[in-house]
Amino acid sequence: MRDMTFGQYFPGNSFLHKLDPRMKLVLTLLFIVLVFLPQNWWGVLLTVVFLATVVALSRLPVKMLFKSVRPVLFLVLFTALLNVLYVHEGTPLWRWGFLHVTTGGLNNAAFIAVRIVCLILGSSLLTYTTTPTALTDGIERLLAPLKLVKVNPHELAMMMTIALRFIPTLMEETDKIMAAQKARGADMESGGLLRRVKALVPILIPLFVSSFRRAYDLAMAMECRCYQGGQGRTRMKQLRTTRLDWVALSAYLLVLAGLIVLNILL
Amino acid sequence: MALLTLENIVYTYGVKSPFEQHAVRGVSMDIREGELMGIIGHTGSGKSTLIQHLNGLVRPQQGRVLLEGKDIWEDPKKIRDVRFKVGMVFQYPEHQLFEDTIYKDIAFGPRNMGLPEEEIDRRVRDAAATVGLTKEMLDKSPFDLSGGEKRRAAIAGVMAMEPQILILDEPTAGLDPRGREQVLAMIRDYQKQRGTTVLLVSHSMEDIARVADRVLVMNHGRVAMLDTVERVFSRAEELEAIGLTVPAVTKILLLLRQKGVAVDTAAYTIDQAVTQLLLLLGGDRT
Amino acid sequence: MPMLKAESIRFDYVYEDEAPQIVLRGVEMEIEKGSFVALLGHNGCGKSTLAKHFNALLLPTGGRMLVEGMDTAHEQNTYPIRRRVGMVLQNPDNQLVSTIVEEDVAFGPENLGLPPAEIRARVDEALAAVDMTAYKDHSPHKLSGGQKQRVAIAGVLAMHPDCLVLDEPTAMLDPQGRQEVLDTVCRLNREQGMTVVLITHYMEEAALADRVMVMDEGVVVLDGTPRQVFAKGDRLQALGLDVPQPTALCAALREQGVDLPQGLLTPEECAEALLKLIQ
Repeated sequence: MRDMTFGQYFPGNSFLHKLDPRMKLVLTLLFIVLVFLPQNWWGVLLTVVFLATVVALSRLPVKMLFKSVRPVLFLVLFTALLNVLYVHEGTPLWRWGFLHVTTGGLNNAAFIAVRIVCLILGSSLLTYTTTPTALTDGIERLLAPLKLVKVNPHELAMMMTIALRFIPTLMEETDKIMAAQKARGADMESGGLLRRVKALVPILIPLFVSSFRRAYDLAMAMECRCYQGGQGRTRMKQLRTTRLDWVALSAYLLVLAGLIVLNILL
Repeated sequence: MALLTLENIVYTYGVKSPFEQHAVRGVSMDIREGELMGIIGHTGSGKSTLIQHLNGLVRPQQGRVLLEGKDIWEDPKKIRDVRFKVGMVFQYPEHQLFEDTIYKDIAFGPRNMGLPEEEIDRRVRDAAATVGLTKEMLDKSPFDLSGGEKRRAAIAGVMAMEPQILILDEPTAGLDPRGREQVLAMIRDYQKQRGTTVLLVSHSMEDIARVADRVLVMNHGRVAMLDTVERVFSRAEELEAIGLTVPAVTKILLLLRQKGVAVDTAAYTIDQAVTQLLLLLGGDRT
Repeated sequence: MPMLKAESIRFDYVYEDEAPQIVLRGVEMEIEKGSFVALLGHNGCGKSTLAKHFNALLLPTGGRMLVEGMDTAHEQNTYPIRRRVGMVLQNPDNQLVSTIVEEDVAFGPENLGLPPAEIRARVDEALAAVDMTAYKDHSPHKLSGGQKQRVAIAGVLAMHPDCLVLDEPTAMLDPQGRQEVLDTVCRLNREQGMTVVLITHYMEEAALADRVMVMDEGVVVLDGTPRQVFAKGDRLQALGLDVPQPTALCAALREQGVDLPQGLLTPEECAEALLKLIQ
């Protein structure tokens, strides 16, 4: 738990690493559209080929990439199972009581499962190739139009940055407090639900107290460094869209057009 | 017989990962009944991981921890009982206070032991008296106490379990000189009066020199030295070689010896150094 | 013009339904540019409260606080003062804002609205000054305590301050981290002429300063060179403080009739003086 790197950024210097975080955010959102657009296997195949190309370009270890699927594997299998059991089309293959398995069901299950996996791989590419800070920066700037409706994207981004900064610190702190209370005989492993919830009090209260203390300190430190909100603030690292970004967008548009053609033709 | 025995303890963090880190690499040692042992070593020397083995917060990957001759992990379900016998006060223990009164917080440990109410009450009052908290303070919220008082209340919370061994990790960290003095004096008194075994982890050589009987020096996950205070501080050059300092008075004597003065450098308190130096400077003044 | 000038500063914390708590009772002090001042006193003596007056985090309820002649009470002075007087706090974990070292150092200059190229230059220079350039892409939570404090110092330096106020910066560090921070602070004072105000509970650290001020009950009670102040061992003890061990050793020897000079501070000085006597 201690070595968890939040945001799972994997350092590199690939085509994908170099893209403007704003473009990567937009493309990731657009990729979701891409995943749900195909109505036949040829479309899915095109999507998979596109994704595979991007993965190859990112030069990330494929094994590591697939690890990000693991937490949602249950969801994928569950959705697939539902499809197998509840879609009754095509040739029946197997039957037991009220359970039917048909070719149509299997086809549907595979169709959905492949697309969910693509979706997860695609979005984890974003977090693997973009530092949390760049991501926050990108979000802040993409949301800039929200200023018109009196939402302050700078504050939103600042909150995200601070959360990212303090999550590892607070996790370490939780470990320490847990060890300290265990040393006084706190029992967190046995008993019913109510007892276990009650056993959390000696952990949560010190954690809250310390979070408030940290927040107070941090606010003071920020004031000491002339922080006055987003107004008049400049940034050291400027975001710049380069030709690479437009190449990426064009590639995406090409695949999109291909999918639409496939949907119409087949 | 030794109260607590460590047999070839090995512990590695993140085994078989890129973050693999050998914290403890084969430590064997005895802790004797009633002694006050100081533990020193720089950050990352493995001393924190080692002490967490003593009360079963960390389970050794190899080796055994014997309390009164019995392996503490013989029955993992009973590890909680070991934690009552080997009390541990962590760094900045005041950060773990959570009850709305100091009384209740000190009672947390004894209550977890399942003691009867009268016994809990006796222990809370005893422990509070040991650390110098007044009766009025017991009903106060932890937030109404000063930093030093909170620290002492948190230490009382572990003392109230009346453990056979009390381990304190940097109990004086962050306190002002008066607070440091109070906490050290309190630990010394507690150990003298009850004869409880005490282990004191500290970065301050001066503190260790003042209170300890024996000193354990950890380096790179191994025992570098384990001996009486005099003998450990007489190996000042070796201590400095592993990045540790010696008390300033010892340092002065060392500097003199480097300049060719024949002086015994085993002194580590001001009184001892004065005696040594008066011998050198001529007996007529004594 | 002095860097910092306190003119009989009073400060009370006012609570509802309670008598106000008086923390500062008329502090008078002047700190010259380029000096290195250690501020001592037991917990609750008011030294941290005073430090917060130096950069207008708190405003006096009586008297005046002047920073390079600017009155902290005037609102238009607040940010110019905070730029000139940088502050480093005790807990190394609670004052770094960003998840990347160099971006944290950039936080101050970014708030000042400087152009990106200028910020870049200042960040590189500040990281070099605290010897943390090699860690510029690291995440702060993986650094040691001493390294975190050096990053915090760099974050302040990047605002190009004239004065550095450090409120117990070494209290939570191990001996190695303390040494790193002290070396950095001493170097900044000596090489760049940075005015330094160091609040500490460690007497050996105070011995490095060229002036020591001791506070008690909200006023300055002792003020002088480390030699002068640490010569008053009994007085310091009564104020809940200590003297460095070498000083205490010399005092004990003098009591036995040994002819040692007063106020020797470091083991080296002490050994040298003893050597002269022995030979």
